[in-house]
Amino acid sequence: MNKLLILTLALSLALSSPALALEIGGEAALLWSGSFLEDDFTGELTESLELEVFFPRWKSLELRYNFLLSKPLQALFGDEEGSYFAKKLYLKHRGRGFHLTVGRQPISWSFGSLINPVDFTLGAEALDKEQLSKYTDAVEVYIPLNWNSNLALVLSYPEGFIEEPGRKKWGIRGRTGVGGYDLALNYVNEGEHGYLPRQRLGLTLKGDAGDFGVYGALGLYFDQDLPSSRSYLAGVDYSYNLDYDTKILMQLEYLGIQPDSLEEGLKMGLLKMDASDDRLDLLIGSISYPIDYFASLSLVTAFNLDDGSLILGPLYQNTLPGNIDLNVGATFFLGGDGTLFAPDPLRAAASVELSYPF
Amino acid sequence: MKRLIGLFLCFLFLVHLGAAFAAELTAEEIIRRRDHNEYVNTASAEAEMIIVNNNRKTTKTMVSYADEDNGLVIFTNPRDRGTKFLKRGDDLWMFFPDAEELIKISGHMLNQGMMGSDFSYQDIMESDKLTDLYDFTLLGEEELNGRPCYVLEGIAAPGKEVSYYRRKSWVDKEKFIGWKEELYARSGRLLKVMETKRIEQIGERWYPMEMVMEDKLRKNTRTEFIIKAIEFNPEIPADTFTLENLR
Repeated sequence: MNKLLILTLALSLALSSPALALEIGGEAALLWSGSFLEDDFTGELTESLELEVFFPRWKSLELRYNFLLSKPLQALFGDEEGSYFAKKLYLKHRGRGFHLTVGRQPISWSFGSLINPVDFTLGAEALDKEQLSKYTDAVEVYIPLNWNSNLALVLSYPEGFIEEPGRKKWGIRGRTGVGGYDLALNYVNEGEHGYLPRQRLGLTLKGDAGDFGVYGALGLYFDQDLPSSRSYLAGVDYSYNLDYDTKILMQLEYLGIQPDSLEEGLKMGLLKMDASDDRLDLLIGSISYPIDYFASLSLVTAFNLDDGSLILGPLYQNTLPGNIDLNVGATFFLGGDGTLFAPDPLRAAASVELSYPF
Repeated sequence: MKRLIGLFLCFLFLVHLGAAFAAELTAEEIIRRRDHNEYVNTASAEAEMIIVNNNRKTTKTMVSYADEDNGLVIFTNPRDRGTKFLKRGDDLWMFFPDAEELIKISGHMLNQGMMGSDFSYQDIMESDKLTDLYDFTLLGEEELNGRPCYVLEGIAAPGKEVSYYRRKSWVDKEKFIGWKEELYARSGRLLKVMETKRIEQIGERWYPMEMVMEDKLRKNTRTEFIIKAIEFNPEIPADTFTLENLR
């Protein structure tokens, strides 16, 4: 692994030579994270380096390469094992009337909600910053129909094309604008998968209602051996002006999943959490307060209306002199034993991150 | 000799007539001439935005394209590299480069500071002519930084949605460029002051190349907006202002 890391770095730096008109950008980060258990505490220090090589576009072709090295220094100078993850390594052809993208690429069908129950890859973005599962080996054909209407067809290999070419997943998404609203309809076939429903159909909508941003989603999940299930999402976002100067940004949404949902699969897929409940009614919210140009305070929360459990995630962000970002965050899991958001024995988690974009 | 005196008198008359004509410009005519300089129909530009707060400073660089009601801004500095904003009419879209997500931004965000600056998205991407948005009256004349200026007051035209209800403008009497602008809320409170620091003659028009915006509700803060290069009426590909081009 060490050799691979060194080789990767050396190759990247060599490729960035001015003679080849390449540039390298990225972010170096140092993260301390700790978990507070019922009667224990664990902490870990992790460094990471994300690099992106910017290749010049050649005619209609565009090559993107972006990778993440975790613990590269501890791997080189210590006994820890580092890891390499290619977030992007794809070739895009921008043809007349279509775009073809082949290789490791992010597939995200986000539309502005905190949680998207009908995304191509399920996951709660607001609760999980590193959505590495969104980066997948795939072939995407994108067909623009007019300035805001398009069709995207995706064939992906969630476990990796080389690692497990037999496991395929595919989806199609149509997106258009109607009366100032962003409207999208999608279908995903998960193929063979352990816990997710095999097929889902999703509809999303986002637009304005007066001074409010409003959005919603409807999901239909079905599997040949199980009864179908539905999810409903309705949300609103708003900027509250504090004395003209400070604008507090707020977002609140409700997510409901029909009681006879497909076992634990959907909850696992959406929240990366296990739960014994047979239904899910969540209120998810975020509020962000800009302290000044460089610093902000925010809070993300999720409340399970059925069992009363709660996640609170305060975050302080500041850009320090020298262009270094400081993020200090915590997550509190509140609720009784066996509830959705209070997994025993985890009680709280905290993190302090310093990062430098270049 | 009489002919010479006659010519001289004629010359004096014409000079006087010209001065009288210049002095009698209406507020609408002054703003129309300013719009002629500053209103951009089609353009592409490279710019730098420097956000200053006490002793701290951050710089954002961008390239932008504008065509009537449409605008596209692409950030190029390391922190925001690849972030794009597309404005089509009243719709604003944002492209997040990391996950390559394309999100329609809610309308209320248009009044937020763009990327944390004193310029709102509306300030940067507002494409209407001032004469279409405000009813101006001429308040008088003043000298500002050694330049003779008209001082005008603009009140939002009925039915028009604008970021600032009232604006007081100092417009150069010769070059018809806005040197200073005070931007007020409906309550009469002064919100922002924008000053032009450098102008340049590009072709037949004068254009502001360096501006400073100060948020008067914050202390010791300002945002400098510096245009590094600008081209008027370039040929912009037809698919520039599309979601397809944001990806």
